[in-house]
Amino acid sequence: MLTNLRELFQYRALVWALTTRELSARYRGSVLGFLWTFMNPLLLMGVYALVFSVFLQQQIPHYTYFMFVGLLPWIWFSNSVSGGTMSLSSKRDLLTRVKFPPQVLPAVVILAELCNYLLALPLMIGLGLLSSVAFHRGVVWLPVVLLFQAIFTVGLVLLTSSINVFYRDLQHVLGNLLTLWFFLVPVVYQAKAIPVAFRDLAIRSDPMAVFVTSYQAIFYEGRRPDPVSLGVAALASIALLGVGLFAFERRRDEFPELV
Amino acid sequence: MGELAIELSGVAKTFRRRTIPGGHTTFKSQLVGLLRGSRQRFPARELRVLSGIDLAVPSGAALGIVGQNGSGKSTLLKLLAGIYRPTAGRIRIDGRLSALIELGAGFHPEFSGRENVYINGIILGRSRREMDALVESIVDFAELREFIDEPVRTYSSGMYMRLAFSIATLVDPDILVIDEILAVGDEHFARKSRARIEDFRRRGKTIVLVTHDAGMVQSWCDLAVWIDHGTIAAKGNPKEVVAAYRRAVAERERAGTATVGPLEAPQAPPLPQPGGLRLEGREGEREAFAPGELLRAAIDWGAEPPDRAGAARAEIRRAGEKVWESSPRPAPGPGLRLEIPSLSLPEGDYELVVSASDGAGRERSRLARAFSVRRAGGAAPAALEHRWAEEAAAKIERADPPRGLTAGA
Repeated sequence: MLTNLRELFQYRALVWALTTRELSARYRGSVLGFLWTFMNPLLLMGVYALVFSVFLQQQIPHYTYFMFVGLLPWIWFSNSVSGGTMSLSSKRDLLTRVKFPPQVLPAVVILAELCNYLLALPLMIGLGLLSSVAFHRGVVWLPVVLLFQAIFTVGLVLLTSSINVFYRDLQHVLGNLLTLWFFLVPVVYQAKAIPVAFRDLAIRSDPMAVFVTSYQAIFYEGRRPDPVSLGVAALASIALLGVGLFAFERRRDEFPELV
Repeated sequence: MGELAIELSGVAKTFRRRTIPGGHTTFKSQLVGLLRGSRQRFPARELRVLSGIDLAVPSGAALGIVGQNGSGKSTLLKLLAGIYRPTAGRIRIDGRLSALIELGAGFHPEFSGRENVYINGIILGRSRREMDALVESIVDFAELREFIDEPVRTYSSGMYMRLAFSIATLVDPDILVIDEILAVGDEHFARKSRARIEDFRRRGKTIVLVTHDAGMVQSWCDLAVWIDHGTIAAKGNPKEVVAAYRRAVAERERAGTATVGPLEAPQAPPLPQPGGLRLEGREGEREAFAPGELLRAAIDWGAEPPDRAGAARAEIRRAGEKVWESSPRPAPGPGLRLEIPSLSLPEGDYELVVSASDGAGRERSRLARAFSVRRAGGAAPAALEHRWAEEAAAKIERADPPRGLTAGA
């Protein structure tokens, strides 16, 4: 089962070549080019800022910054899942004509989205300084949160991308599922807004909610993330990675025949 | 490197077809199946494409694979290339293998030619730095300097093929697997690529060649395999294997049960066994002709002369595909003569098929005879009428059927 991960390491040159290509080519042919990496999250932030602080009169201080902290990692996750799910079924030429390690394709999507996230981080920190939010040494937790979000995303995308080879329905329903998930995770509202009775349940049962609130703890509240929730989410992520690897391994021989 | 470059023992490949004919499997179709109470959710239709393949290719040998369309040749190549995993049996490959299967290597249409060169090189086991050194020679060999930074989806099939060929050969594999690739591309590039493959051979590399050009297998390969209906029908000496293959193809054609191209529908009702078809050159009966030579066909419809209200037709096929068709000859008599003054066909194995239809256009009788076109005296350059013309970088598709043939009755 770990062959898939080992191969990913063997083919790291390929992963890297495809990732850099993905990053440099995404906005090829557009005038603003690479700036779109920053423009897109900013525009999305503008939309939510308009809705929630102007129309809905959110009472959260520094609301725009607060929301940006959760929105960026969510974009990493959500783009990875929607792009990664279709990564196998959309690259028929690569899978059917050469001996190609298929797990490279979803990995590349996730890695490229991670790069976009990391590139947008300085922008977010700049916004934080403007809003004069104090940073805390909780920042040392950032790599841990990133690592487990990555593990969670890889596990999920290995699963969905192999399912999508067999059932194309998934790619059609996925957009709506991700939107629903987005509103279940406290990105545009604070976790405090969830009724106490099931607040812990709502957060702890959803690793993405744990990750997002952890980023908010680090960058917005200036404290360290809740270790218990993070521990549970880490275990859930590793379990999901196991499931994803298992599903992928069982089906990967059939990908070239079916895509 | 060991003694054997490729070793297959008891290899079989079965495709499980889950799809309902004419569509992808969806949750809906599965759901409908469940609701109807069928316990078997996947209609397990198994398609056995290859079975019991034993093959050993010594290092440095050239293996030719022949077989009709749909016999499993391509699947065998994909197994060799590691794209498919065998359902049963064992495949051992000793050395770096690069494969040219179908049109083009594993190109991503949205990536530029250069990006595809790098990606393919890395897949074939070269490092990025090694590719930096190789990329220029690949681009030069493919003659694509102007277009190398364009996405490959804008390439013509000829450009695609040239790039694929250049990558596959210039990364310097130990084993080269080529499918029909020499048939694509213009004459200039075909010559270049042939020279490159010759060079490979001289340097003791192993080559696996799948082609419809049985003559090339005969003259060029050390070893041949004939794949028929997913099994090895014959293997060994190329001359014998190809001869057996040709006999079988001609026989099937005659019997009207040919499994030659996918367009070949079984003929019903069975055609009457007609008299005969004789091929002649300038001085009597023969089977081999030189390009540009005169070919005469004597047609004897035998016991059942064709309907005077109908028409006769002749066509030339190569590997089951029609490359030329005559004008119809109305009101055919019991005997007929066809003369082609200059047989300007490229070297290869062909078949002349003559058929007669009745007044309603239904085919009544059919005669077929295999022949080959070979240059006399080996490598003597052919004298072919030709013209050069400028052409924009438009899509260049499959070449037109050879022209310059005239039919006279």
